Amino acid sequence: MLRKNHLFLLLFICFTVLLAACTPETAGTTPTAPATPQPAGGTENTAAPASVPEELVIGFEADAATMLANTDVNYVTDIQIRNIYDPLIDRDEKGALIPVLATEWKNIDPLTWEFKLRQGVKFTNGEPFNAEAVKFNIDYILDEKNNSFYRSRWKDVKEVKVIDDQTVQVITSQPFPTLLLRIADDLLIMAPKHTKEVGLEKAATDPVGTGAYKFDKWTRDDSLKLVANEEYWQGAPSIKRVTFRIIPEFSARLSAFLGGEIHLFKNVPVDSVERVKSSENGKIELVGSSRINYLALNTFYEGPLKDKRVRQALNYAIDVDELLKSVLNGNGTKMTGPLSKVNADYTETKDYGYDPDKAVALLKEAGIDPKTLKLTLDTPNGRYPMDTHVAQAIASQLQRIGIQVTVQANEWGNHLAKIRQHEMKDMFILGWGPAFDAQGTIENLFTEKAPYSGFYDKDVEAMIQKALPIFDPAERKKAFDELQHRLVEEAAWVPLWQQGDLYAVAKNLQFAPRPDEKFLVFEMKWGQ
Amino acid sequence: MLDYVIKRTGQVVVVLFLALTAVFFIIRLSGDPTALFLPPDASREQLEQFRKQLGFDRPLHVQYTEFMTKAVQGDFGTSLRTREDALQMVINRIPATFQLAFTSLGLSLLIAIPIGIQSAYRRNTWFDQAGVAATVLGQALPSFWLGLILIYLFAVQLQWLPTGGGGSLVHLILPALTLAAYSVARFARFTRSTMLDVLRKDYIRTAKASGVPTYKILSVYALKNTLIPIITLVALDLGVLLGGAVIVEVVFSWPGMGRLLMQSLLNRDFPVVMAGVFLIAFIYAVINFVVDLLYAYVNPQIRFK
Amino acid sequence: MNQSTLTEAAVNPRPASLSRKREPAWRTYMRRLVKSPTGLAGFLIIFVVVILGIFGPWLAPYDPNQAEFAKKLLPPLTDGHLLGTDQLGRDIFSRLIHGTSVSLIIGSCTVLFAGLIGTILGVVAGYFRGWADIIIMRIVDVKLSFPFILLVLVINAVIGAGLQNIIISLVFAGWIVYARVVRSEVLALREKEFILSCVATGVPRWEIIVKHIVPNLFTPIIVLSSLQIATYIIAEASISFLGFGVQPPQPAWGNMLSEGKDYIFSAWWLITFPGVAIVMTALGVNLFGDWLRDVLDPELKGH
Repeated sequence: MLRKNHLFLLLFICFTVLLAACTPETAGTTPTAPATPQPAGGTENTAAPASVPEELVIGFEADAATMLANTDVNYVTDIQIRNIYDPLIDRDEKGALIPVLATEWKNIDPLTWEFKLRQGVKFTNGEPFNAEAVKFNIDYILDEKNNSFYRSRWKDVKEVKVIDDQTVQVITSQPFPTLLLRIADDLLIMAPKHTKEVGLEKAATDPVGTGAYKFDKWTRDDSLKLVANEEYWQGAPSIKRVTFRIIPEFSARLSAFLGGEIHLFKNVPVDSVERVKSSENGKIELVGSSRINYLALNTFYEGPLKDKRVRQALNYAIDVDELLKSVLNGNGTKMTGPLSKVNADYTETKDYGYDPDKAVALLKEAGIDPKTLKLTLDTPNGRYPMDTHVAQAIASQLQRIGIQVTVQANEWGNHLAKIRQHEMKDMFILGWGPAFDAQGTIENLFTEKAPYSGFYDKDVEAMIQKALPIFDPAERKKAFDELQHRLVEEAAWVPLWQQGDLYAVAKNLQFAPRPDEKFLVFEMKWGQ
Repeated sequence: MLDYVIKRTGQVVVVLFLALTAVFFIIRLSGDPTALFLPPDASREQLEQFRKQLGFDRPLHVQYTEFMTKAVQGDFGTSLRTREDALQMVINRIPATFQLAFTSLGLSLLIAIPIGIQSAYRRNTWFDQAGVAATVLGQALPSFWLGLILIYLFAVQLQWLPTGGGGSLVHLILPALTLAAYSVARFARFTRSTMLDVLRKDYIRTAKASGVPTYKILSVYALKNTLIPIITLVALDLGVLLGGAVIVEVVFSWPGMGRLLMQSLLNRDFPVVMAGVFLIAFIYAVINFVVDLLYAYVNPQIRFK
Repeated sequence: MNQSTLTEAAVNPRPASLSRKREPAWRTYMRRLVKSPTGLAGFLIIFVVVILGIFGPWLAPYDPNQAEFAKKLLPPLTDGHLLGTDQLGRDIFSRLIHGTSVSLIIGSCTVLFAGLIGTILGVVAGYFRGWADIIIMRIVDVKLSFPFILLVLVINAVIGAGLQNIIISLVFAGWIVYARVVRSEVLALREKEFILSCVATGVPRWEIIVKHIVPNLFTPIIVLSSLQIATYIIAEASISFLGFGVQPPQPAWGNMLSEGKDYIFSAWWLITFPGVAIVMTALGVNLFGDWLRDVLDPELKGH
């Protein structure tokens, strides 16, 4: 009997070790260290000095949910699959709309939009790109069965008509002034025949598009590998292979970058910028993102902030320039109103500036002694650059005039839930983006019914409802400009800044980051 | 023996059932997840509509019955995020977690048992003291901290090993070591004290007196008798191992079940969380069950308790 | 845990009225403590931690939440900051001290409540048997089918973060160990002669439980608690590290580590000191707990 035990234990140990060694690499990829010589700069590199690396490796913080387009709203999915699929319309580096698969567009009447499509484009499986394909994709979003998370944004689209192979019309049930923006931001074109043939479930892991890259392999939560589409209609891409490596931890991304395992990643924390700059093979690229951060002064809560004067006082009491400088090391562009400069509908609004005396005066006028004022500030934890730090910095600033602020950090899901359920108290930090138009921001953040709104005022609501359906561009601009001024006057927010997106880029990679945060590998190339 | 098997199986089933029920209600309490999946500019009506579509607006007991009936057939629904079959998603991650857990286990046994034996044999020498000190330290280290320190030393400073990710043996080293630290400590201490007990026994003294060489005493006679308690300890500690794997997986971005569970918790991806919880409980129950059976087989006294 | 541990009380239970001592028990224990280097070390560490936890906040040199951006990320021993400053310019040493209070509160409250609930349920299950026993043990089994840390994580994710909630989560997951141990102790105790004789002479059940059974549970409970505290402290740190648990800006060792991990490349001191604090505390608790067990349960001394 004793012998049995002895044998058993030995077997057990052998078994565990064997199991570990022999289990197929279901974590998927074989080591992804670049197959070719290290990028220029690695001091341990004994191979001949770099020819350019064959493969671009981008470190990315989260996995895509699916390879299907037009389904998951999350930007992590969108950024990756935009290399496989093309949109009809895209944005240039200033945020303006440019033609991609659609060459022209116009309104036939306020309810009808007509698009002319590019000729001679093929999907990577040989299917032709035409109006049928466009209809297929828009119908996909509208079809309830597909549970697309985008559907809510497209609800005003009634139907899509194929006029001929190169012309398609989109009919809306009521005037939809922002349809073009939806098409630019949401719509990507999947190959209809392929998707119908293999079915949605398979297409979710086997995508076919017209894009610059073809799908190669996807190992969930590990990596997405793409290869260049040599027949791409804009010309063959210069980078032949690209891998998105999923590395959720920032320090792991940084470490991988410093070690030459990845060539590019986004969202370098401001305090690590120096580290990247001083490294041998890395540089920093900065771009003013369209994503904005702001401090909402919550009027849904029965508190001192219901008084406009108190809100204005807070705007005077918070020194946004100092916050930007000391917490974010200057990485960000200050905003004075609800829209950032990159926003197409931006108009310059008044800057409250930093004036603590005026703040105190205003508070006294409202009958409040700042030293007795106690407020709460909710912030998410790690969702936006330095969010909890900014919150605590704001608290310190308000402390200077005697206001006691309690900072409460929330896990992201809870933070959103609190806002939606109107459980937030006086102030909360939130971000919004990509934000390229006024309607998207204003309708969703300053109205009574919008889930994430922190502001409601009867008159302002009326103004907003009047402005939304305006179709004539000049009229529209006037209305929204007025709204911006009004919102600043009402001090609905303390506007903070437009995020400065920091990217760590390998020295031998040419990459110009975009304000819409996309990684379009086609636009990148090797070389100093 | 058969009686025992049947009885234990029944227990396992009941336990799994209760576990699933408990998790269902606990998770439902955390509110509904629809808003996290829709774009932030979805209106309240749209949120409502979506909830209806996913079935979250029905009364709790209705959702529960539906969930249980499907779960029993192995259908945990589809992930709210990826639309894949929830149970399948979790199952796909099992190999990675097992790789991590079992490598750790193997490593820790390989390291701990010899240390424990030698420690017992050289009781109270410097070797022993050092060993005991190291093991006590090992049990006090939080795994994530150890992981961070190892990353700092080996990945940042020395750059010998990658900081994270999966996919190859090289990526497995640091996570496995980190996870093993706690177990090594436990097993070594335990081996040592069990060994000490065994070495006191008469038959050891007899063997020594009759001139059996030391190494044979240690490796054959003594070892055999420490095995049962060690096996028991290993089985008991498997839960700790699986749990610890979660944290290690997160620190090292190792693509296993634990990390999936963490992400799904943060995303409120209910179906995946349910599937994950169930699977972990299931694996754990099965392992315990098997160990119990072996134990009972090897030691008939247990069966008649 | 071995089932054979903690049986000293069972081997040698004392009916409450018959205990007799030659010198005060605590004195005996103190003598033995001083003789044991590891036990003494453990005790001293715990002592320091408790003092820091209780009085520390008054002794801390800086306000733990005072952010000073001009002084962020200073290395240790610069400018009056013993352990350096963090990414907001807050003094790490002061935050560490305040974090000690947090850990202390969490550890002791959890032990208190988990111990209370677990003991009561364990006594009920062990003494009254029958349905109560079956139900309670099933619940225990269910909980046990789940790794402790995962249980705490899931519960905490659901009920939300924060100091009270992490205690609730830990208690919820932690009472089981107590219930199990207490139950097996009670099972053994109730068969002892002196208990049987009490029953035979018609002593009311409540009196038996309170006067005779419970006192004999003190030893195993104390030993168990001393070992569990370390588990709870580490569990809380892990949960806070993962993003739940105690949230910033409230200083706690776990979230200090979580905030610091992004600075592993530039400011190693952010993750080193809180980690050392956790390790030292857990170490002290374990050493002392081991000594305690050796003293109260000679069976396992290993001599």
